[in-house]
Formats: sequence, C-alpha cells, structure tokens
Amino acid sequence: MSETRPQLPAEIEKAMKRAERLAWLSIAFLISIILAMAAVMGGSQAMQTAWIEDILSLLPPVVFLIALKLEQKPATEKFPFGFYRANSLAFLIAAGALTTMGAVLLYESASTLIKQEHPTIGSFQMFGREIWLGWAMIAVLVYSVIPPVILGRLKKPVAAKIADKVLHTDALMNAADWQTGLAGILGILGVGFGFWWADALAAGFISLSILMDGLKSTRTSVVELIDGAPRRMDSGKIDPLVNRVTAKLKAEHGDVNVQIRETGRYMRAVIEPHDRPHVSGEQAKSLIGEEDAWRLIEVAMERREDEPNRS
Amino acid sequence: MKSRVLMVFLMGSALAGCDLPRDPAGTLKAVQGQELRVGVLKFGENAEKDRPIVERLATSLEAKLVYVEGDAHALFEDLKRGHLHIVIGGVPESTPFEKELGLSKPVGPLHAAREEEDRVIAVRPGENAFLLRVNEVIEATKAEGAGS
Repeated sequence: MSETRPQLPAEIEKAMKRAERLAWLSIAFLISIILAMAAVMGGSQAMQTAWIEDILSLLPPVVFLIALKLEQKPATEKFPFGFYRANSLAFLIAAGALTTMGAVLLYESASTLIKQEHPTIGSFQMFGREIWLGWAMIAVLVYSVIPPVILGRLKKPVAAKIADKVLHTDALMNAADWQTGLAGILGILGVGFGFWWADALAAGFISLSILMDGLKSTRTSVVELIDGAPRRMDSGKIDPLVNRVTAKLKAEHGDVNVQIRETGRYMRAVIEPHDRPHVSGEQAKSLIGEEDAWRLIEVAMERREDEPNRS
Repeated sequence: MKSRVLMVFLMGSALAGCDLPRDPAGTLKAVQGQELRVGVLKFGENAEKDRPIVERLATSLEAKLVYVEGDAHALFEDLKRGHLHIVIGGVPESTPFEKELGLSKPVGPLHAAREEEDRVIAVRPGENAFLLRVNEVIEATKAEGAGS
C-alpha cells in the first residue's frame, strides 16, 4: 500500500485545477445546448445528429472528472496500485464516444442520401408572422458552435501539460461538435435554397474526420490498457520520452531490458536482465506452490529513491 | 478566421432570407396560377373543416382547385411523386407515414378518431416554401375563427 499520489510541481497542480474547471464548464454549456436544440429540432437530419452528438460529448468531460477524483485516492488493499489507471479507462470511454459519434454521423448522412429523404422543415408563429423553423435552428446551431470552439482551444494546451489523453479526446470532441454544428448550419441553409441533399452531404464530410480521430484515439487507449509503450497524445507513435529514458538507463546499467508503460498520465520504467526476464521456476514454486507456479512470472524489487516530492 | 467565415455566411443568409426557404421540386411556383391538386382521404367532417383552408390557399395562389379522392396509400404515393400538392381530410398528426410526408401545423382536432388527436395537412415532403405558405394560410384561417 505504498502507492501515494506523487506530489506534483505547482504549475502542473494548477493546470489540473484548470482542467477540472474546463470540464465543469463544458458540462454546463453542453446541457444548455442540448436543451435549446431539443426545442427547435425538427425534420433536419443534420440537426438531429448534432443533437445526439452533443449528448455523446457529455461523456468525455464526465469520465474525465470521475477519473480525476479516483486518481487522487490512495492505494487500498483491494487496489494496491492505486487508481491511476482510471484515467486510461476513461480515455477508452471517451475515445469510444468519439468513434460512435463519427459512425452515427456517417451512417445517418449516407442513409439519407441513399433513400433520398427530403427534409421537411416547418414553421412557427412569432410576432404575428409565420417564420420558417430553419431560421430558429440556425440560431441555435450558431449558439451551439461558439462554446466548443473556445473550450476546445483552451483544453488542448492544458491536456498536453498534464499528459491527459481524456482531456485531449474531449478537446477533439469539442472540435467535432463545432464542425458538425457548422455543417448543420450549411445543411439547413442548403435545404432553404431547395437543395435537399445539402444537409446530409455536409454531415457526411465532417463525419469522416471525426471517425478518423475516434479510431486513432481508441487505438491509443487500447495500447495503453494492454501495457503498450507510452504513445504520443495525437498519434500512435511512441513518445520520444520513452527512448530518452531507455537510452539513459541502458547507458547506466549496461545490457538490460527496459520496459516502459503508462498508467494513466504517469510512466513507469522497469529494468530487467535481458536474458532472464522471469522469476525462476524454483523460486516460483516455493513462493506460490507447485500447482500455480506457472502463473507467477515476476517478482520485482523496486528501487525507490526519494520522497514523492518533485516540486 | 473561422468566425469570419461564419459572419459572411450569416450575412449572406440574411440577405438571401427574403425568398427562403425554396422548394426542391418547385411546388409553390408550379401551383401559382395553375391547379392546386388536393387529395382527400375521406369526404366527411374532417374534409369539410379542412376545406376553407384549401380554398383560401387556392385563392391566394390564384389556382384552380382539383379534388381527388382515394385511399391513404395511393394518395400519399401521388403526393410523394408530385401528382398531388396536398392531402386533407383527416391526416392525424401522428400518422405512420410521417417520414414520407411533409406535415403542416395542427389545424384542429381529428374528428371521428378513437383518441383525442390533432389533424394536420400533408404536403409533398421537403417542399418547405409551399409548407410555409400552407402554415400561413392555416393561421389566417384560424384567426378568422373557421376551420377548427
């Protein structure tokens, strides 16, 4: 039960607080957008999809906040390694949400185009005049576009600073949000001009980039969950920090294997002899018993040098 | 940059707003000064109540009224293909054909129905300019106290 939360440099601590505030802000804005959209949503495909997508984009900030809370809990008997991995799991959920959003969007727009559904958008009465509902939709979509543009921009640098892939995915989701919002506006204007396909075509183009982002994030999150080497935040490539640590450790210890993995935002490095990666059969047998000896493959001695204080 | 694109966009749409929305298949223009082809699901109380709306619509478009009676499937199919412009006579607001139709705002209660429900007028799907005109006429007719 030795795992305690490492004391972080003051600026990282500050960035985390900021990330938390941004996540809460996102949730508040998203709820207001979801309600406003529900009020004007009609037969517009792009509008409905934008709405589903805004509901989905609640997921990343929510799981981010949950993971952040969990991560700060000390290790227990039941969770001897602490809760750092909650962040990895949250990352998978966020990435899944992003992928789903791209897939839903692509499916919807393709099926509208194939079935040649002509979106019918009605009207409502205001100031004694009949006004096309499309205008109200555009107004709400404009509102729905503004917060995610700003929030996404604010989140990206913070996510990089605190090495938080959930927050990074959340920022991607925000980008997807405003892009679909814009596509929705284009689509409804197109419908206004009598191009029934404008709506779906606009959504279709956007969906591809969202789907790509989602799949990329999902891949990285799976890598993290199966103890892959730490990856860069925005691509599947191995983080250059890994090579730096490996090179230094090898220089210091000679011919050894260096294993580096990621648990949430943190990295862990293990040095092992290059030719004998596992605990000996004899020792395993004596430790765990004849029958289960095959299961015990590692007994590591950690060399801990300092108090968890890096500030 | 992006906000500028948006601005141009909104200004453009505001300018163009005068004659939007338009019909993909041009129903409103096609009816103007020609025929308004009306499908009637069933001549009866619902159709009678819908009639003042259709008449007012025809007058406003200087169109001759042509009524066609038939069953829902045939009428809605004709509507989708543009052989008809409008279907009246008791289209419930929750019609199962909703996806294939353009529905107006409620015109009044659906008569002779099992449950309390509003009735609407169906137009060809996606013909948003025409639908807007239909809705205007519905409001105007309501304002006169008829058509419920």
